[in-house]
Amino acid sequence: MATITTTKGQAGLTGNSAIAYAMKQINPDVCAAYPITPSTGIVEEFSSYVADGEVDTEFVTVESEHSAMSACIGASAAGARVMTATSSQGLALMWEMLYIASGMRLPIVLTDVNRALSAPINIHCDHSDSMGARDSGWVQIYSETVQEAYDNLFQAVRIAENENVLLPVMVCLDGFITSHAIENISLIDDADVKEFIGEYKPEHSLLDTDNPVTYGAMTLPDTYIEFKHQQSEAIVRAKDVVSKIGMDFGKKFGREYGLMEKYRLDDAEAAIVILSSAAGTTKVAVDELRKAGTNVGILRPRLRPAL
Amino acid sequence: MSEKKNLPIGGVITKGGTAHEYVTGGWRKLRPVLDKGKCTNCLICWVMCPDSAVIVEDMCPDSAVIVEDGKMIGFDMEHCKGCGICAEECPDKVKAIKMEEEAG
Repeated sequence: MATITTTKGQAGLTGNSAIAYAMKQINPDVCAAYPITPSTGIVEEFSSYVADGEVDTEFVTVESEHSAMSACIGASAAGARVMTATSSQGLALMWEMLYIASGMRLPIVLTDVNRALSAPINIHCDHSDSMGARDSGWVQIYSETVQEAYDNLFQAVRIAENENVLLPVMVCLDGFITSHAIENISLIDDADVKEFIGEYKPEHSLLDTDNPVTYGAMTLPDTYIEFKHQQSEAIVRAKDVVSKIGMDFGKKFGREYGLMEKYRLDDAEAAIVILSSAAGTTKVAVDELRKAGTNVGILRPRLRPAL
Repeated sequence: MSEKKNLPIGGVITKGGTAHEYVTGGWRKLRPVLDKGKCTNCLICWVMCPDSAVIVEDMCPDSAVIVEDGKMIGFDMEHCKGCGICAEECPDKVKAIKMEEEAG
């Protein structure tokens, strides 16, 4: 099993280990996942936590990512707190079900370890997988570092389940660069995680036979547009919710997150807009350029779609 | 419009048995016509009706074949789509249901 050794609340973890550990701390009711490079480590380590009885999670092994997301949708409609993880072709295979998760307003949390889409086959990072899902009605949060990916997962649970949002949330981190690199990060105590995420109280449950409900009924053009409009309003409201929860996280744990990060931007004559781990490298470049007398800066969005 | 804005989040139908409120009779091109003189009340039509349009009173309220006291009395024309399964399944020795063109 995976043993995490901490020194003064800090541990050296890869992005995948940090996400698996965050999932252990969140202790979701259900996880249905199909491992794929470079997110395999998340599913492997989390399934160890399940096998060792360290979480109460029902782990559903499935034959594909399409089935993984389908099982997540069923479990979420049953009222469970649900998480999964994938990458690249896996997210692409979930594509049909992503729209069903968001259309049914199910607060599933998915970690996408960003990886390029084939062809040519490439297991390394670009953002074409999650960009293909950008307009699927999911809230996406992009993480620069292992620490941020770890922190984002707790915020994602709160954002997804917020009554003004009720949308699935995708936490993105860069394949290999973040998922496989070890970074010294601060861990949050289990009790503090529990308090921060709170208890999930779904409005409906398919298992509540005294109050039967139907998910996924057909709508015709007169109402379909109304439901899509509801979804669109929810994703606009997500902007404020992401912002508030990022601030709340900062108050409690000392690391505040906004909708975007500005780095040496205020007096910049030129700036680069960049997502995720590449921002870290770019910060070094910005510092070097400023030393040489060029006023440059960075704008790093965390939230997609841009609102 | 104000009512539409109160539609349940995510298109969830918040109670059971609402399919009956959705009227499908307008889809019909052929209508089933029952010859009560021939009908033996075997209720195979009631069992087979996919729209639950065969009405049997005091039995399943979702059937479109209407049955009273265990007897076939007609069809729920608000739900019958005119598929003709009832006429097809009516036993060969009986053939009490004929499909006829809807007027106009």
